[in-house]
Amino acid sequence: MNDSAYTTESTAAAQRDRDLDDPMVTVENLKKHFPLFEGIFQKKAGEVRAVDGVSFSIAEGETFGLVGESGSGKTTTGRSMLRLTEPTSGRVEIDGQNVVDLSDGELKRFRRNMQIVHQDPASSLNPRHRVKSIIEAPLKIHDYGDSEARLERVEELLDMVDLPREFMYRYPGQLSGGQKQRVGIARAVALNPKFVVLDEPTSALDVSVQARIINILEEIQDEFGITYLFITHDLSLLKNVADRIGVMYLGRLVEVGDVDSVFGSPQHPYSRALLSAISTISEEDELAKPDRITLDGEVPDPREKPSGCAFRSRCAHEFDACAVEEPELYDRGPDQVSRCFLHDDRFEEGAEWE
Amino acid sequence: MADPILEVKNLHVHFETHDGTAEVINGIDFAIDRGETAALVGETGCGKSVTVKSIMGLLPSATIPEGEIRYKGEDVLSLSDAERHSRRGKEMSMIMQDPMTSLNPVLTVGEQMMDVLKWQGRPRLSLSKLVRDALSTGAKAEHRKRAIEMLGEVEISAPERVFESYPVELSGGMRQRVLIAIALLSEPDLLIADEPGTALDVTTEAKVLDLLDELVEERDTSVLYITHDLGVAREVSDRINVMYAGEIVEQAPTADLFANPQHPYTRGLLESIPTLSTGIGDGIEGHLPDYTNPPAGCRFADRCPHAEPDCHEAYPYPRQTGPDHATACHLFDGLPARERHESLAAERVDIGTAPWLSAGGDTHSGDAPGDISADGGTDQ
Repeated sequence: MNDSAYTTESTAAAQRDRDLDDPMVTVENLKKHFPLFEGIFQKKAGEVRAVDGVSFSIAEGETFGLVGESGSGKTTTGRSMLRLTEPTSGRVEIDGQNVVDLSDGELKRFRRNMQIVHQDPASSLNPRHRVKSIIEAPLKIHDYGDSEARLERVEELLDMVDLPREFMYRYPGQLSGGQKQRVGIARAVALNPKFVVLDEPTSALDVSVQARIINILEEIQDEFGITYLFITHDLSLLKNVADRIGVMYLGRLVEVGDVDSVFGSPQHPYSRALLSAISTISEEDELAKPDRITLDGEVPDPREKPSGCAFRSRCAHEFDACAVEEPELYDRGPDQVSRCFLHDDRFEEGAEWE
Repeated sequence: MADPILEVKNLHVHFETHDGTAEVINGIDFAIDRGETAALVGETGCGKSVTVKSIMGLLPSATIPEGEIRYKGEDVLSLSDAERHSRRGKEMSMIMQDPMTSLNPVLTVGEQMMDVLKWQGRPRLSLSKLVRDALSTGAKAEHRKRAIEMLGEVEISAPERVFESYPVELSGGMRQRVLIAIALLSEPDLLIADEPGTALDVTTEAKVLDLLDELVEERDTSVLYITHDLGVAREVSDRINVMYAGEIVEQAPTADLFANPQHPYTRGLLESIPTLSTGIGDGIEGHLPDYTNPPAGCRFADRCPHAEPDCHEAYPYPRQTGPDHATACHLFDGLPARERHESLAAERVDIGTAPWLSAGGDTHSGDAPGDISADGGTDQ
């Protein structure tokens, strides 16, 4: 593996440490459990622990990437952070305010600070509303000026996302996928939020369109210092957009760290497998990723997670301890933690694991 | 191209719409050698799926005003429906894109697999055959055995159980394996794979692609691989055809295409792909032209950073720009790659040479075509 390309600059790391002392977003032990019912009396028959104790923090103006396969709980994490789905327990602090404690009225007012860009632009815009009224909706709800001020703001937002102002009078059906997603972004940033969840904002788009959207998102972030949570399954994309990333597997974070460390030397066996599966377009990239690691089987049924480490059923390095208890997060660098017993000195199995 | 299994020549496909005739495929040419894997790469709406569906004969609503599709030397477009039917499934088969919707939800996997074996190569079952099949349990048992064997070959761990399962009981990766098993059941000589990995997670996709690769290698099957992902195409294919707006804009052996991408669209596409080492480019402005009123000249001209007024007028026929490398762009000189364009070659369109070539002679450069690279200014 080519480590030299990813050496972390110590100054950058130090800067980050300072920022993380006073993060914009802090998530502590966030849980979202969906109950399962069965029988004609709808008796509770267990639960799916979609998000099961997730903790991380994001510094102001930073992009935190959340990556994982379908069913890993990354979208549920993003949605429960914004209380679009009620979290079961945990703390989510955004700009010093614990969102989980807010009453409905307070929550509504607080929403101007936290927004979301949805995955599928085709189904997240009301097809019967014109672009203008779609972008204007959050402005109206939060009493932003009179109609003239709102119109001005809509024009400003359209400029920001690089859409012609005439598009204001179009319906979503008249726009292409990329254009619709730009409308989605304009709506999300309309109220100058401090924090935006980007839930796979480009996964429904072609790569040539994706690149434009990513550039627009980065421009907006640079200008307004918005903090992003970027949810995606595309690791090469995250490498380009995120400052720090978290790898999720079955509702748990298995590795968290700054993007260069995680890509330069992934510590968790699952992160390595994910990285190794990236398809590349150059020799250089081919060398920069681990050799192909094939995972056994498929993601287990979330109703019946394996005991101990949830990943052990697919892990090539599984040993006795893995089934007994779940590993904690071990420090693996200045800003890198990994949840695996291979890092534990108590077990000799980890000795050959670099 | 000594002995191609499939040859597509000057294929045009039109659809009648309310807004007039949509000229979706505008004269494409490509060939697949025996045992070769060729990729057809392009973005949403460029006509990849229309191309392969025309090859399979699955587009009843389309008209093909011009062109030839030769399978093993025989023009399939001149065959009757029954004759085409008899080749479908047996000679050529297709893996559909979406494993969630391509299987019949009310039939078990086994029933769907048995169907392939039962109907294979026959437009309809004669009554006597039907009776014979019903009476002889032998054929059925044999089919069952063969189907279960095939499920084993696509590395499904409990083939008997999956054989009895309904599609909803299986995960996406499993369903995709079942689709591969169904497509390979009849041992086709040509396999068309329409984005078989797109709907899957990366780790599953990687596994399915490896498996498919192994299976076609074993059987020496020729494969036409449809994908929007150049990274995937690089992994699986021997040659790549890049499609844009119903035309093949560049074709080359895979290694050559990545070492020396020529068409501005190919280059734009390559730059847009997020990579581990170089970052993400600017993407390509604009969108596909309207198929009912396509531009007379280059269909990419509206979005091309190098377009000149001539590009909007003159059709950029594919030119031979290197051994086994053809590019349809006025930036490149070269003999017409197809004989039918010889008359067009007489009228020279001169818009200069590709700027990234004149800058430093570095054909391998990954710099943005429109960018002034670090050494671009110091041209001796």
